[in-house]
Amino acid sequence: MLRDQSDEKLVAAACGGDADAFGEIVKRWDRRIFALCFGMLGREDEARDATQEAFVSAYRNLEKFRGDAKLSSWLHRIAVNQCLTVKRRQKTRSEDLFDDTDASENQRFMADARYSPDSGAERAERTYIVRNAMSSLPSELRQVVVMKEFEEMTFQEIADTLEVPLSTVKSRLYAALKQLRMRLKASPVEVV
Amino acid sequence: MNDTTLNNKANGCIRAEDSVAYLYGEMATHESDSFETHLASCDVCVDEMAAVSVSHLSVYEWNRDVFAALETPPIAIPYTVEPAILNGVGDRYSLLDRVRAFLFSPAFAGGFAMLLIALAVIAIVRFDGTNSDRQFAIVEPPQIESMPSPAVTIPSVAVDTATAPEMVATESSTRPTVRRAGAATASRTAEARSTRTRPTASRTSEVSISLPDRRETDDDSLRLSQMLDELGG
Repeated sequence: MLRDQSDEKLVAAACGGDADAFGEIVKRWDRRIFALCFGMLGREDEARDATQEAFVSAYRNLEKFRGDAKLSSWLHRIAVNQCLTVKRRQKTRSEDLFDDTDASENQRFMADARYSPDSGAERAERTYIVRNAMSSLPSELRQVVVMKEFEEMTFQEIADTLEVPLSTVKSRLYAALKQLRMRLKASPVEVV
Repeated sequence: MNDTTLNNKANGCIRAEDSVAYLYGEMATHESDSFETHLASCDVCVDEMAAVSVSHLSVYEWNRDVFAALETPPIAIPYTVEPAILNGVGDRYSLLDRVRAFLFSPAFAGGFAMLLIALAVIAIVRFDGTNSDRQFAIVEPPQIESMPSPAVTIPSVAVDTATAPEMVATESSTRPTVRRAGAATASRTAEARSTRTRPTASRTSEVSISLPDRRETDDDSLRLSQMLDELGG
């Protein structure tokens, strides 16, 4: 079964021409690469395109994977390079159009829900897990996540509200997202 | 700073925390460009970026699928309606709260004031009723002309010259300087002695003042000047 194979064996099989092996790699890592692209680009449609391009690039360069690093890190590197290329292209295009670069920044995280391919059941299950993971966070960490993600406050607004330094807000948010990542990773159902 | 010094897999990268600011687009343009340049060469920050991005996406989807779809309930505050506790519909308030609210209400304060005023009026009327025979009694004014004029006597004052303060008139001032008798003996001069004012027994006198008849005049100022004339004379 391909599902039980390690990443290294799947890469070796894919290099030998096994398309299903590479399909298993995509299935195993697509959501995390999509999350990274979404974090980098801020729009779901652009993130999906970048994810597609990243996996195509990985397939073409699979033979260059040396195995001294984890497959996830190698895929992350490809995805980040792809996103940086997209951002450079956007920047050049906006300069050509005499457009304000802030306009693209303001469009961050304003994606339409129709781009999400997940089924309703998967979403509901994921929502349940994320809610539990959020509930298990310490209150001071959960607070900054809610303020940032739900109330869309800036770092400075959060700092003013909580009466803490700006650096503390960044540290707490960083710690919150890291702990959230660990809790999601430890969940019995694959969330990410 | 050189990326090779930052990119330390064992200890992480000191710029890893910047991934959060970059993730939420809270970096200035030059900071963002700098971090992207750093990302191109730092595998630690790439992995950190991936980790926080996963959490961010999960929370983002949770927000989008659950909270963003919820409509905020319309909130209408009936400002024209009195608070429930005064309106008699405050069922969630205890009896003590309602009694306290009633005691401090304007209606209770006004009623209490009216009651006090009514009691005061009743008391005055009843008191005056029991003394009705004195109510209209005619009080005869005293006969001023039959009253003898009081004799005002100024008692003689004997002053001990050894202990009494001296009144010394100085050249520089018209106001006499007061000195204690014992302390001023050394500086006493013959000239000062001549101007010394010392009350003696010979100045003691008895003055008898008779008040003028009140019917002659009501002008107090005239009567006062008359008294002063008599004293001076």
